[in-house]
Formats: sequence, structure tokens, C-alpha cells
Amino acid sequence: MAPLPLALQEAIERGELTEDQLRELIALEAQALGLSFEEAVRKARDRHLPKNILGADLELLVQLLPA
Amino acid sequence: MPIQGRSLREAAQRFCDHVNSVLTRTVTETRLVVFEVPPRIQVTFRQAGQPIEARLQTHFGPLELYFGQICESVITPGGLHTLRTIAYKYTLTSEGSQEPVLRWEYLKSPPAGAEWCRHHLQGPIELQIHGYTVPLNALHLPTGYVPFEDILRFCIVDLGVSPLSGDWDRVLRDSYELFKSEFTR
Repeated sequence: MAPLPLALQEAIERGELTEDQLRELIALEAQALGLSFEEAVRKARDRHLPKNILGADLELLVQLLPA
Repeated sequence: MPIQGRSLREAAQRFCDHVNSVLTRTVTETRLVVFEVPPRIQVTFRQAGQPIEARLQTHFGPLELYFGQICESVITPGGLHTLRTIAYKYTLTSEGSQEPVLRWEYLKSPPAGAEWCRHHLQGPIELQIHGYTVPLNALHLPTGYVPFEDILRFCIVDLGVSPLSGDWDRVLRDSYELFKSEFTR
């Protein structure tokens, strides 16, 4: 996975992400799995993501999205 | 009192600091990171913002531990933020493998139509049932709520991870009791 943009890293280190930054993080992790944001969200909710660390993390990150 | 704070940030940091203090005295010095997207938080091992696993040396070779939790804040009548677990995922993966050997998972609100046990264990383990070979990944083996302390205990006692302190057993017992008697009261 490519390094995250500095602003996103700093937001994570500060401990506070906006919804837009959360979506950016999901999109970047999805991209590393060869998926679009929408595909990753759908697969996460259906629990069809790869069972590796990125898939695990994405499943949890999607739980942070507003319902 | 449960895990509370005057702000979501305070409650989240209190939770993260506690788990980190347990981890550093038991199996790993890898630090958990917490961030909030109100009203929820995520706690995981991260480095430069990216998810990572903690490397554990076991009797069977190196295993990677993934720790992830999502909690949600409920605001009390007194205005305090109280954390409730929405999902957890603890996995152990052989170094170099893409699939965990064991996955303990909990999801408070499974997708529509899902009727499986919300607390379950899965892994690429083949079960022999009469003439059938059934992968554990196709089942949702019920576990009940698995405290993270029990995962760390399993790593030390059953997998042979060398504990980072001599009083690891007391650390795990105290943390478990704290969650049972204080954090979740």
C-alpha cells in the first residue's frame, strides 16, 4: 500500500477524522486491494473482502460510516 | 463506572491507553492508535496511518496479531460519553500468509438476513463431519464475548509467546476484572 497523504496521517495521529477523511482512508485501502470505494463498502458489508489485514481493517472502517 | 469521558476523545484515549498498558506488559510493545469519527471510534495497531499487525514469536514460529475494535459513544443524562463495543476483530496470521489461522469476530449489527452468531470464531480449518469436510470458514462457531485479555492469555499460555513482564497473569486478571466490574457496570 502506498504511503498515506501527510494530512491524513496527521489526522489519524491527532485522533480525529472527518467523514471525508474517513472516506479517503477507505478509498486508499480499497485501492490497495484493487477495489473502488463503492465495491469495498459493499463487500465489507457483505463480509466478502479478502481476509488479510486490509480486508479486516476495511470491514471495521466501514462501521464508522454514517448509516 | 463504564469507560467514560467528558468528551468522546477523552473516553477513547482512556480505553486505548488502558489496552496499550496491558499489551506492553504481556505480549507486545506495538502500540494501538485510536481515532474518532463521531460518534464512533476505531482502535487498531497503526503506523504512519496504515494498519499493521504485532509480530509475536510463538512455539510454532512467528505469528501476526491484528487487534481492531469499533466502539460507539452513548451520552449519559449527565453528559458523559460512554463507550459500547460495536465490533471487534482479533486475528492471528502466520507470517507471510494472507489468511489468518484464527479469527475471533463480533458484529453488533450483522447485515440484513444474516442469522449467524454475532460472536464467532473462524479460520481455514477443516472439520470432518461424517463423510463431509466442512471448512470452519463456512461456519460461525459460537464463542460468546471474547475479552481481549483472553486472546493475550491464549498467545502466552497456548502459543508460547514470552510474556513481557513477570506479573503478566495478574495484569490480565486485573484488566479483566476492571472491565467486568468497572468499565462495563
